[in-house]
Amino acid sequence: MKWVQILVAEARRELHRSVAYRLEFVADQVLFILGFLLLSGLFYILSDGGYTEKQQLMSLVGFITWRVADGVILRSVSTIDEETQWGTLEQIWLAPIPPRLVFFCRSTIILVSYMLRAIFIAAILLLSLRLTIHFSISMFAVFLLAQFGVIGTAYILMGLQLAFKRTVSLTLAFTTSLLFVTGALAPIEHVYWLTIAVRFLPLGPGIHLLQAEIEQPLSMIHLWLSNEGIWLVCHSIVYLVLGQIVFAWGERYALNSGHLGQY
Amino acid sequence: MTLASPAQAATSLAVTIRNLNKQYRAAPHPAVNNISFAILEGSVLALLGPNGAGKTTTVKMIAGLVLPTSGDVDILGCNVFSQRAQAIAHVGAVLEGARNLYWRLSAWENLLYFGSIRLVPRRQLIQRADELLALFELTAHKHQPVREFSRGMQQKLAIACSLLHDPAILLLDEPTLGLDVKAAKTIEEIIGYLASERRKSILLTTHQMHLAEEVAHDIFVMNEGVQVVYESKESLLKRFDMQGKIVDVELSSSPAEETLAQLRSAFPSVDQQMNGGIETLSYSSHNQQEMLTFINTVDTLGCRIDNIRYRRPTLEEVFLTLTEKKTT
Repeated sequence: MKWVQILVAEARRELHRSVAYRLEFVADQVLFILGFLLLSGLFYILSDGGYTEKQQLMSLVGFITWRVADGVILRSVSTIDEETQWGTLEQIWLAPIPPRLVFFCRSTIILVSYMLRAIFIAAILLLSLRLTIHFSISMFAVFLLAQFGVIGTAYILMGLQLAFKRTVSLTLAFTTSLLFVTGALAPIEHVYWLTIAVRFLPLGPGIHLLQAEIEQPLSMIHLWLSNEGIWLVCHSIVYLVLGQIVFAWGERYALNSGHLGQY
Repeated sequence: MTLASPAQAATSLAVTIRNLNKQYRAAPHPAVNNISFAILEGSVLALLGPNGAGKTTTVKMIAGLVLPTSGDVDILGCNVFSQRAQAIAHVGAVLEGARNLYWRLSAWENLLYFGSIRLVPRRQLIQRADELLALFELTAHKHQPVREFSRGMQQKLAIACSLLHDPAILLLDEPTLGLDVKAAKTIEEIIGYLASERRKSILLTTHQMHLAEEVAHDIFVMNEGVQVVYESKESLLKRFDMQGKIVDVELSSSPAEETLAQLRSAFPSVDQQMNGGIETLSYSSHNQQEMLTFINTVDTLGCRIDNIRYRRPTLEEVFLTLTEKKTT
């Protein structure tokens, strides 16, 4: 049960970090609440009042799902960048366990942490916009499965960070673009090529399925038997496996070039 | 000194390094070029060399943090590269004298985190963390964030973190770098205690020769990636002692530039330095008569001699001789 011990250690570390940087923590939540309200208002004005309650809900679900993914990817990558600067990264490689296990536990804790924050943000936004959502178990399952694919994506970017260093800006650009190209905020049906591409992008199938659930709720059995459900499972597995491959490559590259602890 | 025989290796060798090479892709020369040595159980090996000699690369290869181009590192019989988990379980390391800790966390939280990822069972970890805080006199600062610690306290805590899983081998890369005299002395005492009382095998890299002279049993000097010397400290100092002694002539005042120039023309290797505020002229020779001629010349040139001392060369002087010889 060594992974439980590491999960607990990572949870404590993350908690202490959040407390130590509490202003950043609070500012982060406020920024995302205000950001969504601002975009929502903008969409309302641009659509000449045609931004319906259902569309707002779909945007909100997309935004919250993206927010968690953004947090998981960005924090997972920046944690390697920070640790390199703090001189603690090599200590992880001095533990008698595969470093990938430490980072998997870390990403899982970050996921839980951002899910809790997302619940808070969602509650405030639902109250502010006077929206109601019928949250189902199948939606939660889709959400979780999409986030596992996100952890795979985080691994890919962590591998690149180990090999090339200073990839946080690239990661930020990547996660920000996901907000717009996955249709998390606004529909992308009018851009045909994007509707095809989004099926292969991280988070794309997950957001598509969650928004479809708002339009027409599905039972768990119907969900997993549908083409979209099977595609989401395959999509997440492929990203997780790809993540492991790229991380292992990045680790080997850093160990070979001797710059694991350098930044 | 050669690597111990296989029979000895089974009982007394903690770390064995065989034909280790590292060639970085863009570098014109190998960072480490075919070096071999061993660290005996409960002994301290000082890895010495000027900047860029390849010391840190060597330490990192032993810790499995840099992959060698060729060669092997065995830790208590486990190969670092093919049996990483088993080998690394025996190693604790404080690297490059830099930050090895989370500055925003307290000393206690750092100990718990690093102990957990080293898989020390929870109950044992708490007991051990308390013991180490007491040993390093940090108990009063247990819940203080590390960023508020002095550099010496941080280094003590970093060493404590590396000892949480009770490793048999400790790698210390420049452990006294940037420390004041008192903190450096404390670290020196800790290293001595860990080797003699706790039977840890320690690999120490340092530029502070007096530290190596105080605590090391064996000396490995490398320069430009190549082995310069590898032998026990005692035999190395004895060897240089037999090659010649050093005479320190202590003067009551600084000699004039002209006097010094005249002295240097006759004795080119004379060294002028301040030792504890005393102006000292040092001269090394294996010839007793030559030493007496040197003292007479100093006296004849009008320098007021306060004291004359004969001594054997320090490790620093041996090191400088060895690395200068290599460079020439």
